[in-house]
Amino acid sequence: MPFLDSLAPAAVFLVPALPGAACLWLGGRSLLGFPASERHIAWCMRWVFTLALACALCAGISLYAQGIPGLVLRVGGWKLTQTLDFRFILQLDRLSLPFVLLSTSLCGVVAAFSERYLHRDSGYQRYFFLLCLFSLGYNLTIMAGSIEMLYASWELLGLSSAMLIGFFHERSGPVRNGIYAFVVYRFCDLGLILASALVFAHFHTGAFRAWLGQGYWPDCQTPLDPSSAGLIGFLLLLSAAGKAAQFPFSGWLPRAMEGPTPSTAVFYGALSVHAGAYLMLRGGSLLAVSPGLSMAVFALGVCTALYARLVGRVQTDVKCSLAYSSLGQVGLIFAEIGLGLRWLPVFHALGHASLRSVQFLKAPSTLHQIHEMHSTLEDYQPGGPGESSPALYDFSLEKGYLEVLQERLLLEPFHRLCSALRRLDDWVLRLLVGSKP
Amino acid sequence: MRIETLSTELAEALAWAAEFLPAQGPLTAFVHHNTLHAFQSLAFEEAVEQAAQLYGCNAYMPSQWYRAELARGRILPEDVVWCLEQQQVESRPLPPGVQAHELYMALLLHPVHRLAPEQLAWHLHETGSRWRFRSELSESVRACLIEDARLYRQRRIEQIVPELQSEFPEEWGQLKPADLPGEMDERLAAQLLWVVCRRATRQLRRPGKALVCRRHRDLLWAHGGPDIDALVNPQLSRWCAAFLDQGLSQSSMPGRQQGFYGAIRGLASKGLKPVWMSAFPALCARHEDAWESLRESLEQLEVAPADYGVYLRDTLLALKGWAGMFHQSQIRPDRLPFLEIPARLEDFCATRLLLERCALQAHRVPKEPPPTPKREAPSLAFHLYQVCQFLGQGAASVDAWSAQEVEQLFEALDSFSSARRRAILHRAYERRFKLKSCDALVGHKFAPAPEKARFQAVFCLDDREESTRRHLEELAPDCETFGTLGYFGVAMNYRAAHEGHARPLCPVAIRPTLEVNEIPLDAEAEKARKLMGMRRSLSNLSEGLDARSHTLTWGSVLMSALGVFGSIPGILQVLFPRRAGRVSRSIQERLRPRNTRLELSLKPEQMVDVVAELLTSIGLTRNFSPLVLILGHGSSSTNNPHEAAYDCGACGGGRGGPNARVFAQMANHPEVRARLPFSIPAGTVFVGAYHNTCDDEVEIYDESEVPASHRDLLSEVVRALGQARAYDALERCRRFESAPSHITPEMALAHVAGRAADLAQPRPELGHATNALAILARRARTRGLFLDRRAFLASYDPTQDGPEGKVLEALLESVLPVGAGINLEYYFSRIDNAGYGSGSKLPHNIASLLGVMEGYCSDLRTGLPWQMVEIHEPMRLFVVIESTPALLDKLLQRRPDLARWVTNRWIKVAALEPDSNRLFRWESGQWHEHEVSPQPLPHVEHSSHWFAQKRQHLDFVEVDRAIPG
Repeated sequence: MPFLDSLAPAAVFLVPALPGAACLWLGGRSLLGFPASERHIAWCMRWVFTLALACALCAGISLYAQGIPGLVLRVGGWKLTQTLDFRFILQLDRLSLPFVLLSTSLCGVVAAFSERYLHRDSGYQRYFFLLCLFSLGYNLTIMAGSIEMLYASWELLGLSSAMLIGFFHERSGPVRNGIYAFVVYRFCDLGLILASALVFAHFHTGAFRAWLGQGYWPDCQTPLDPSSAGLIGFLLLLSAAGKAAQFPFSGWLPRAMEGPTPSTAVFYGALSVHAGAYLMLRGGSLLAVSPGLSMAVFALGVCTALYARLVGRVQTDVKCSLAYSSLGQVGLIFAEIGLGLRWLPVFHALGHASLRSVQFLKAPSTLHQIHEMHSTLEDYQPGGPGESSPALYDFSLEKGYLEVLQERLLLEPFHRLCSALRRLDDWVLRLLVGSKP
Repeated sequence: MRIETLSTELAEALAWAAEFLPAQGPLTAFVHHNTLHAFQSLAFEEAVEQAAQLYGCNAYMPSQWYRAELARGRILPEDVVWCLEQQQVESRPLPPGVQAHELYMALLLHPVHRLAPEQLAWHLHETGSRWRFRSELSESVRACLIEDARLYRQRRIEQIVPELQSEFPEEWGQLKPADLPGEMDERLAAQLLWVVCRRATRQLRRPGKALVCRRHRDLLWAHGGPDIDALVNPQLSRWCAAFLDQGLSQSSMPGRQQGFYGAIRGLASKGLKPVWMSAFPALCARHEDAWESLRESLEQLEVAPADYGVYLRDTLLALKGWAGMFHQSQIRPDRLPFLEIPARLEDFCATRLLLERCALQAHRVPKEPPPTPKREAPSLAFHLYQVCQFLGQGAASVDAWSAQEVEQLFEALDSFSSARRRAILHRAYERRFKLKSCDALVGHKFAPAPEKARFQAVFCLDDREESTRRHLEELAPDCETFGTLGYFGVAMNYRAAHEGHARPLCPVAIRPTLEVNEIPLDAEAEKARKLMGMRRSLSNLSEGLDARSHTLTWGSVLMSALGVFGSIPGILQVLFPRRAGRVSRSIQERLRPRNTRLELSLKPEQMVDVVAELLTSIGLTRNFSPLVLILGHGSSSTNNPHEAAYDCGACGGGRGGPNARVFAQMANHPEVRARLPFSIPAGTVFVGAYHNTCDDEVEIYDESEVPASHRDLLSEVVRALGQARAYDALERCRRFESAPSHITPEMALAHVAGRAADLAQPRPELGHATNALAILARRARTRGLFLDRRAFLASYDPTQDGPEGKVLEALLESVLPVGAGINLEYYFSRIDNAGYGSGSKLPHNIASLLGVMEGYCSDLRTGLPWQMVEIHEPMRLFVVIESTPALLDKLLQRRPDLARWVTNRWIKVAALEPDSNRLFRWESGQWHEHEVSPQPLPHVEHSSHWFAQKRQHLDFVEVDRAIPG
């Protein structure tokens, strides 16, 4: 069908472009000092997400109707030097399509929820700006066809997440925790940067087709040899682990519960944490050639799942308890990927993201539900079977001592190093000046 | 011996300190109470000041808020003048030409910026305030200031040039005496005034705001050290939440039975600790007993035994939400929803102090607070410069003042502090509303119900039922309505047919004596049993699924298999709240046995007391109509942790429908009727009903029991009630910005139903947000008066009360604590929402099934969230009682506990004489007769004509339609 043929690329382009345009509109109005009214914002959000979802569906149907496994769209480029050619490639295939459908529909549901939930909040416009920024970043991450594009959108995702955690910036707690998450993200992004550098050094282009293999997911084979595939894969794994809050980068996840309920629901419960899983799925062809990498992904996933289960058991507030349950499932998804499964993790991720985000949205009604349950069931007692040993309990309550270890192994030595350097500096200065400063 | 006395001393100190903690219990049984209950023995003004100091909160709204209310006419200038006069500011010596009254009025009406040196530098350079007078000055004052400047120039011509050169180097740096402009203009006049103010204050020093350092943490912090609370609070919050948890976590804290201190000791020796806590295990191990440890900590911290109480209080307040919950769990374990936990405040305190000692170890805590900063020249000059403008004192006058006189002026300025100014403005704010209400009550003409009312309806006195009552009277002018506490005198433990547990339905102060079970009719017993079984298995299923979704294995199977489809109901609920709500309600209805009866464990003679007491108190002892409707109320909303706060306060945060039903059943009992001191005609039928104030649904109980002769009447009543609730919804919708302003009653009903079922709605209803008045009088006194849902309306007939006012006494005894509790909780949560209230609902996170935290690992937040109090006008409750001042005096003398509310001014009182239109306001210890404003009240046909398309608070108005005849 020629009509569908021409429609698909436009639809693919519009999926990230619509939230992007909304972002420009909201951000522009804020910058120029003409805040939009709640009614306008709500109206705009409804259209943006409905249309984006329609476009994603449309593109999917068109692919299916044409019987092709994917579509690659080059939307621009930036040729810096002869060897450094950044390509802006959008790619819709059997992996990105379900994720795009999930993200646009969940963002749409959350936008509909927030339009009433945030009514009369002073940060209404800022919230929706960040929501659109997040949606833009997420869609681009999912649809990126090259590693440089992936990196840019990955950053956008991290930035908007951190800002949403610190949404209530009149209190210090949310801001501090937002910064914490941002620092973890930045540290883990190191992996993606280094991976990009390696890929460019090897291939002079970052396009996935060049280094992850021709063909469409899941039937692509990487031209890389096992050791370099393993190296690049490990770097990607570092990034993915940070975004997915895998062990030992899990510290930011409970801290992300500072934002308004709907944003925590969709971002940290559902979409954001699955971006890491997506990245690992995308790099599936690397895993296929490098058994060591697969082992690592599997081990990391299992570790995280067990860790999350242990810590989640003792959480005494609804949102953190949900966050750790969510983490446990993401850990399992990682483990499935490590085992070489391809389709199961996709279904698992989709199902988990949608179900968990609904649970998050309903978190404030926990009291009501438990009360109902208590009144219906005579012998009902909320909570679990009982006590665990003090040592295990302390381990779980203190979140596996991650923060203590981080303080002892990273911050303290760093602090000591800095103090030592300062003393050295003083000493050198005294030598030069010849007197006590 | 000595140790024992010390222990009791310590226990007493702790008990004293605990009084200052928030008294809010678990959210599932929310009861409104006075936020500052610890200060209730003080006069109101003193109490709010002291509490503001202690809790670090605001005592009143900010000055600019009151000024905005002044600008929009909510407060009139005459109110401010009156309140200032009442305040009796002590007379002080002032510079010549300055009148005290003028000075204070200027300070009240205009913002005077008191800037810190850093702010001041910016302000002076960027805003041009040194060469311009304040824009709000009148022309005459301006002229006066300019004239004064001219005089000054004539007098001090030789001084002016160097001074201008030094103060305004950019403009006048090269100035020669001859260059001075001949005409005096505002710019030069302002500059000269500034120059003079600068000179007058050059040698002056005034004390600044003293830093209050009560704990070691404050001292360290004041000296630029780290905030140790930032270390201690998260750790302690985590432990408290784990210890008090009612079943949110799947694995509970080991050793909880030994109490908090014991459990923490058990954990302390295990695992890794952060660096600052490295001494904690050793400190913990020293004492097995919390009291011992507490005493040692206080000794180590060098707290004098005389200061124990204060020090413990301040220590507790550093994490007041959790500490308060410990205290509540200790004194009212019956209010904990699921589990009784051996919570003891001394355990909490001992642990907290151990943590503080750990955190303090790395630092040397100074003994003295840092010296109080002084306010110095430029800031003082700017202060004087602004004040002089408002006083019309120009350069020449200020120049003539001696240094001592300037000092006097500053003394006066400092004594008239911001807190004092706001107290006056607040009083003016309350006074305007009080006068308007008095005018309305006096101006409103007595409108008795018809002798033979078609039907009668008894509502809860709740302010939210005011509008329903009014609309019912408008739609059926031949009816009569009453108001009383919504538990209708039935203090019971009630168990519904579809529920497995009984819950108390009565005010919290009363322990229920009556057990009532709802049981399905015998004919349907089998069906009901099946339904109950189905309900149970559904609950089990959903509980099981929910719990399993947290586990790894089951969770992954569920997620992968059900996943996307499982989320569809939830998503539909978000997208189409009203329809989803309707579906889920109809399922609920189907799973509930429809025809039930009540099983009362009460003899008829005991019922007689309940029925007689209630009917006497509302004055319904004669002229019974054929049908008397008893309407209880409650509120249901989704996704709302504070749901219980919207329910009936008189039912202890429960739903009062069953109370109405039980009461009706008692009053219909033939044996009861036979024994009543007054007679109820055989043709009178009582019918119970339930009004949901959130979605405005009304449910009639036991319709089938109504005799056939009354069926037509009942359906007529139901029709009228159906319309009234639609109009009620309409009136409520005017307050919701998200409801369109052009809207029909039917659309309004749909809107409120959608709100109640909406997961995303933080304001399912606005609760008591508009409460301001309480009127204890015959309905005839208020019938046909539009009260804007602002009044608690209790029916009280003084003509049927004895000369001693026994009925009134009983009524006041029950109404005052409930009404004032609601009012003061809203009041303080509005005045300082971050401090006394619980902040915005949006980041709330349910913790331990007891309360809400803000986001991740914070203190437990008590008080009302911002979304509940947003539109509230913070005012003390104004109670109008239909009685004579003499009787009230007698009554208050007899009951000092009730009198304290009045004499300490926590509520305001007026007496409306029963047989005349005279009203007496109780002010500063005396009754003053109210002078009626000459303007008569406006009239409207329907109240909907008055409120249509208006969002703000509205004035009182007469509604002609509601007046019978």
